[in-house]
Amino acid sequence: MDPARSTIILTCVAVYMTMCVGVGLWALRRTRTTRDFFMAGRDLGIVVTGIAVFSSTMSGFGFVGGPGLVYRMGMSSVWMVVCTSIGYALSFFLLGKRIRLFAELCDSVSLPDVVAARYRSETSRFLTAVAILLGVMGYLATQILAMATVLQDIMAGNEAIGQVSIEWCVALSCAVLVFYCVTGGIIASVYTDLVQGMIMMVAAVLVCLAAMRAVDGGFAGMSRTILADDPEAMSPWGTLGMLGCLSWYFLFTLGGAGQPHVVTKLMMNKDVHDAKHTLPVSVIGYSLSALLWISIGLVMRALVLQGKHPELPHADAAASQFLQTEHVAPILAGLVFAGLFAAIMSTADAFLNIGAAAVVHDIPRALRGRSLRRELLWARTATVIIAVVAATFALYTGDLVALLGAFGWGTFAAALVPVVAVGFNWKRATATAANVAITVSLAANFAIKLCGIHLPHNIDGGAVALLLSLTLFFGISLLSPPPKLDPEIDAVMDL
Amino acid sequence: MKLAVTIFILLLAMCVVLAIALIVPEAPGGLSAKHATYETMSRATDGLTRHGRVLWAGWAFGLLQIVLYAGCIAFSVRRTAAGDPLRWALLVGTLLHAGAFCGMMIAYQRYIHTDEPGVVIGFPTPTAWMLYGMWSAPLFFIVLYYAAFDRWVMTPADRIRFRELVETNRKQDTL
Repeated sequence: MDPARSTIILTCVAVYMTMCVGVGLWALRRTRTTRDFFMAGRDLGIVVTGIAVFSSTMSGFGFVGGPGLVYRMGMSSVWMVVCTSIGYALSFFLLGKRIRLFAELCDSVSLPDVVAARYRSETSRFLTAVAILLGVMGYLATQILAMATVLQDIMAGNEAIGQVSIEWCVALSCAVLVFYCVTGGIIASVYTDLVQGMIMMVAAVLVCLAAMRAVDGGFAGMSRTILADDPEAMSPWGTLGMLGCLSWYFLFTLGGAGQPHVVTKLMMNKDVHDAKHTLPVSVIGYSLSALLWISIGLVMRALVLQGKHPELPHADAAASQFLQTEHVAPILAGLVFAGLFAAIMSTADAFLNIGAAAVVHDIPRALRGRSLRRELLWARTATVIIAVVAATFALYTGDLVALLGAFGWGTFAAALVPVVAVGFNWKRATATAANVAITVSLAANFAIKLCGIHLPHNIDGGAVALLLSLTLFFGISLLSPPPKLDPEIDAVMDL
Repeated sequence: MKLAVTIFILLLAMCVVLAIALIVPEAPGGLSAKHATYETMSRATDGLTRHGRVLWAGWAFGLLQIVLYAGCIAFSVRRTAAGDPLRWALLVGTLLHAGAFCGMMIAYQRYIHTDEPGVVIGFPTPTAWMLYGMWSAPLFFIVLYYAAFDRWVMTPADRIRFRELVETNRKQDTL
């Protein structure tokens, strides 16, 4: 890499990381109780919540894996982007009001807290916490590994620094992440999300413009080049195929309402009325950021097919390779790399927070009937431990990390959509149905992935697990006698 | 209760469609293969060959999903008395969403039968339907959520009732 470009990129990343540390120190003074640490005192404004919701959804996958998938498969993965308008609308209709009301009424600090109150079941709390913890470990490990790999690539491009081991890169990137998560809890997390989200939006729009200029004719030029080589790659289904794409549409549309790191943010609004303003902010933010996903994937496939760029070493290199071309100004490349770290960290910090809540708050409550003493201290300790375990997991368990990370979304979706998104809106839903839905969805997801089961027509296993758990949840609830609810919960469900 | 049963039936129908699709054999050449020149890319087989047998399943699975999403929205609001404007709004939103999906599917059926596909606003016609239609049609629901929040999602009466509930709950905790 050109030394000047490398120095600019490293400077941008260093400035960004310093800013994260600064936010952590600022948030330290505002974090006095467990409720501050996990729920930001339920005092967040509209823009902060809206951007935190979308930046938690858009993980490093959107900036690395997404463009890589478009490069490799054509338009298939764009279904994960196209679904956001209906997906966010569904999440807000189903949960925007209800989860905020439950959280205030029950003074909850986590999603399993609300689940336990709704179903009057400690088993449901325990199973929800376990599902969250399993998903968090896999997802978090992949985010840490992605962060370290990108940092290693950037450092390797700078002659003054040279090759740094992946272990050091994991340690360095985790140190910043853990610092602001431990000091400032969710407050630091959402305020870094605010900056991170803004960087992601600006970077994505500028990169999309650069991509359009890189090929004669812009998107039409890219389309014609790819069409001439493989018309199906430019069709709505890409090379994955129709049923595979539609199963992704189902999983990512409905699944959004089951992502604990996202829906937990809806519990933190200052006022329930804010939800109506938060929704457009989240949708606009995500849609702008997704421009990077589509444009880089298409432009790199077109440039390689035109012979203007050598073939990529692997599909996931699409974004980093495009940022090193003459089409992208060095300062923009620096901004995008900072945006990439932002995307990864904004998701990872949310996972750390909900993982810590599961360990120090929910599982002890489910098993012992009460929380730990000095919960705030234990929450900070658990944040460090979870990060260390996830980092170790990322470094030394090989394919298992990729396996767990790959179905993190599907695990959360299948386990939590019925229990949370449906159950919070339906008085007839029973605790038995919730417990069966979580257990079956985890078993189905693990069985499909661990046994390497490939479904015909590339139908996604996570979508099948989600459909199965939803059907069981409705079926069991309809066949059971109506459950007895707490009078307050009953009253809130009437609103 | 009726809505819950309807959603359950929709889910069962989706299970049946997927189950049948799973037993339909894939096209002999598979859905895609490695690109002949570029190893890091995949290349699809001919559209008619790979989708001809499951096109009906795509139509059914897609439309059932769209109706399911509308059902979920109705489920969350639950103030949909007959003649309520919200019912009409949900119907319009669903028709827009379903219309975009049908437009894309019809355009795709033409696309796989032509050798020279047209490009509309930067993309082949069915892909343009997907990007500009499927992405933007559900924005109707977002506008609906914003515009109708105080009327259908959380009314001023709901807010007062909720404040009373919280106060009662706090007093009980204090006692």
